[in-house]
Amino acid sequence: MSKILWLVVSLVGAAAWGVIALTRGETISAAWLVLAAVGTYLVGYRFYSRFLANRVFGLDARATPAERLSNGRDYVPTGRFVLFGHHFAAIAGAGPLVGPVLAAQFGWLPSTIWIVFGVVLGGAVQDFVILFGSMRRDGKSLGKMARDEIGPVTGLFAMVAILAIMVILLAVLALVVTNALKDSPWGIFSILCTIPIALLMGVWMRFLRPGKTIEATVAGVILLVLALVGGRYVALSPTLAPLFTHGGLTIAWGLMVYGFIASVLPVWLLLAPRDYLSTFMKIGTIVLLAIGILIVMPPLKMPALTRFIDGTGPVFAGKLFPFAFITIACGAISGFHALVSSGTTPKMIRRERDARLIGYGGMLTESFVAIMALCAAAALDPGIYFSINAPLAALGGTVESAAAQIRQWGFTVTPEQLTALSASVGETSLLGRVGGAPSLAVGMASIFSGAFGTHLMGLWYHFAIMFEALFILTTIDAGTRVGRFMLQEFLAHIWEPLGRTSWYPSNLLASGLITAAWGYFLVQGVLDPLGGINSLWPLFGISNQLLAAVALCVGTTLIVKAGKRRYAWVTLLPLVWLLTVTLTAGWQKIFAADPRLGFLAHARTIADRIAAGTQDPAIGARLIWNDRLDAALAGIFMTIVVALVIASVREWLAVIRGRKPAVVKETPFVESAYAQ
Amino acid sequence: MPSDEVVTLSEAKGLLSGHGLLQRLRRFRMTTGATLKRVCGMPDYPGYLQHMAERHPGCPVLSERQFYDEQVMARYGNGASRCC
Repeated sequence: MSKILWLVVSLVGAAAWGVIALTRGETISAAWLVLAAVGTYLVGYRFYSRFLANRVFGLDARATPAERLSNGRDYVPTGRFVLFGHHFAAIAGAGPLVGPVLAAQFGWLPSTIWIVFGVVLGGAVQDFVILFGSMRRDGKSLGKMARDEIGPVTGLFAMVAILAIMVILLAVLALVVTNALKDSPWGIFSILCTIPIALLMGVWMRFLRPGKTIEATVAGVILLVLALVGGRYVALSPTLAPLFTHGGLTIAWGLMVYGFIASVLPVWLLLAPRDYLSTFMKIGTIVLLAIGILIVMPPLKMPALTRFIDGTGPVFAGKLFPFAFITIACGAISGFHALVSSGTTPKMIRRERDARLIGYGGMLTESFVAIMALCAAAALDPGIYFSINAPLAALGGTVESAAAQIRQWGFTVTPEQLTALSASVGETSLLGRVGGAPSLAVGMASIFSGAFGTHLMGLWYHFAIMFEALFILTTIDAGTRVGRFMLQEFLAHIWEPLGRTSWYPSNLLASGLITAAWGYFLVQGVLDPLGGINSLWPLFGISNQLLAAVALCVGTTLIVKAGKRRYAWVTLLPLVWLLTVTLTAGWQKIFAADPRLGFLAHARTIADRIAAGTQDPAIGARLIWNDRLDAALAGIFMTIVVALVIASVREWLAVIRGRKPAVVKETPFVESAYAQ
Repeated sequence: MPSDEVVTLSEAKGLLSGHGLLQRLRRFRMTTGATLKRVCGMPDYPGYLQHMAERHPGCPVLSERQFYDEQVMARYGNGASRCC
């Protein structure tokens, strides 16, 4: 019976891929993408993850850290479906939503293939192997595992890499929010309201009714919806609207001030309530989006492949290979997940075998979110998509110039359509709102209004914007804090008191430094005539994928040291692919001769323009400096990873040649008391 | 406030064993609440009380406010690991 069922699942998935493969120019329904993805996930989960669990990792009946160290606090044996929800909420963020939207400039086909096969063979394997390793070591972090299993220098490199990636991540996410809120009184008002709402919840949960987190969060969600509705009246009011209308630079500074203050406030006051609120919203909205897509089944108006696979695309520069594979990180494979998989989750697993559903299954679900984001973006008219995602410098400032430029790219859109669209979502203009969030919000709003009523387009658009901004702000708050703690660990080596996390001056200094670091990249992104996303997002993609490479190195080491080297290909395969992609992309970003693509070539073009007198020397000097900085950063990321890979390979060879015993540093076996 | 804690602890024990309709309803509310809390990473006080009752009977337990403070600090105090 189950054999027949799996045959049917496989056939349906294969049939959907068949439809996708045979599409030549005609529009197909998003349903085929969803079917192909889900079919592949099910087959991958049923067969490949079982192979990993049984053969490669050898999950067995031993007691988990949650069982042995159970303390009712962080080590808590938790039912697998609950923990699956928790783990998914922790790994899903803005990444899987934004990446696929940006990569849609190549058309929907390459992204679909990468998201689906990347996750089954790469991303889910990475999450699973790190979760497994951490679970066998009482919940150790990725950095500690790198140090213990590969060596102390590797551990230090991994830490530096994580800190640098954090800075780029915060800058790029802050830039996404800035572009979404620029000159949008409705958006700014509703996002600003989230701060007092979170503060109120914080006071409620600590003083008014201690521990009553659910009721406070439900109240917070209701207030959030009121703020969203209120935003419309603010935007329409001639007296209030100007108060909430700000340019990019003001918003960027506002975000920095917010990030700094939020990261030094007590966690119960702002961070915890904001995190609860965004988790509620995140799960709710993703479920809503899935229902919406299933009801509407939108046709994909974007072609399967666009002409921009040759690298001339306006959203970001670079050819399909390697740039599609670094633009979509979360959703296919994301190094950041390794931090979560070696964080709170491994301390809560009840039975070893549950790790398969949580680690592998959780990542498949995140990949599905990426597929939905891709459907939402590809369901937009390509003309509309490029009018929102191409930089203003390319489109010109008016709807007429934008429509003319988009016609040149080979897509049709009329100025009236563009005006009508921005009016329908309650914005003055959507032109050149780069960063992915606004076009995703338009896509989501069309799906929601198609499923739940068309007259609410503006409300749905701002709902989607608020939903994205809400958890990006949570990431900024939490990320600045994580960065602060890491920096304090380093600073302690210079002067011991700087490492004291209970010493206020040290906290202020470290928080200030971290905020200044991401704030610098953010401001440069805002000032960048091309919108900043097209230099920052690739940098973020490269760094995130390189972190994944670090995680896969650790994973391979664990497998080799466990004496399972004949199975080491499960992590080596994605590792080799990631190294190929990221090192190529990094090399091209630094050295490519095309000034749209290469940082150094761009710097030379600016220098030539200054010499020719067509570029303001002061601005030019800043652009050149930034290009060199970005190039240096990409170079540092690449060097760190190459060093890490070399250290890991030496370790593997030592074990394989018998110079080092194949011993893993796992916690000894104890039989579980739970029924298996 | 020892008296306060003893009341909540015995309350939790009562909830675990009762069969009346009211107790069933309260138990349902407690388990759905606990599920939601676990998913969102919120502190689960009844779960903690249950753990203490099962594993460490007779030991003093934290008040709800103390437990909340400790949990929030443990989860966010050194920065939550959170994804893009």
